Amino acid sequence: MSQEIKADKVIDARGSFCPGPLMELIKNIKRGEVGKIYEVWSKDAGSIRDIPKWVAKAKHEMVGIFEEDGYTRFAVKKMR
Amino acid sequence: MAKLVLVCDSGATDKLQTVALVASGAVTSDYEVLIFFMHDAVYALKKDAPAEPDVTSVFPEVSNKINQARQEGKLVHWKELLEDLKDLGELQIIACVQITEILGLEKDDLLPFVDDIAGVNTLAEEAMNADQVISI
Repeated sequence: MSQEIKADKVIDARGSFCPGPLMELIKNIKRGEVGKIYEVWSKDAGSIRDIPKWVAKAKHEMVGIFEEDGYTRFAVKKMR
Repeated sequence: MAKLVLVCDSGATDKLQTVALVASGAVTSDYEVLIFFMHDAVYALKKDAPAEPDVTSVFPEVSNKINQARQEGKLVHWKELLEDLKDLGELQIIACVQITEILGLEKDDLLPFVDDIAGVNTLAEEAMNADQVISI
């Protein structure tokens, strides 16, 4: 997956423990526009399981998961 | 939609935090959740509840680190979490009528996210109709 994905909004949740990053992503997607890409940054180890699982269940699109230095970027496209 | 009933009778911060955390996992996984607050947990739902006690643990290191994370804003507060979850999915919050009557509390005295005040028959009925019941 390309690291050059252009997010419409970046949610920096690196300062938050579980379930903060997922909750921030869900809140932003819920209020957001269909077709936009939301990228959440997380240092929470549980995010790697929880975020893709929620994205699949909520029927959005996991555009990319990128490992950075000490955190992970999850890019999600709102589909509905 | 599968349904989970959570029962909490403690006003201890760590218990309330755990209830909200478990509820968040269930609601974001698209399960219906009902939380029945009893005893001290009802008191914690008061709009004017006194300052919340720190998390206590049998292991000092655990309480120190959790309280530090709370002070630094790294943990979503249980009240904020429940409020957000109400917007995100199917979450119903009920306070036990026995305690509200003993304490002289009306629904308006409780936090806005409390849906109802009800008795243990409601809890029994909800529990028997739920897919899982967890007491915390």
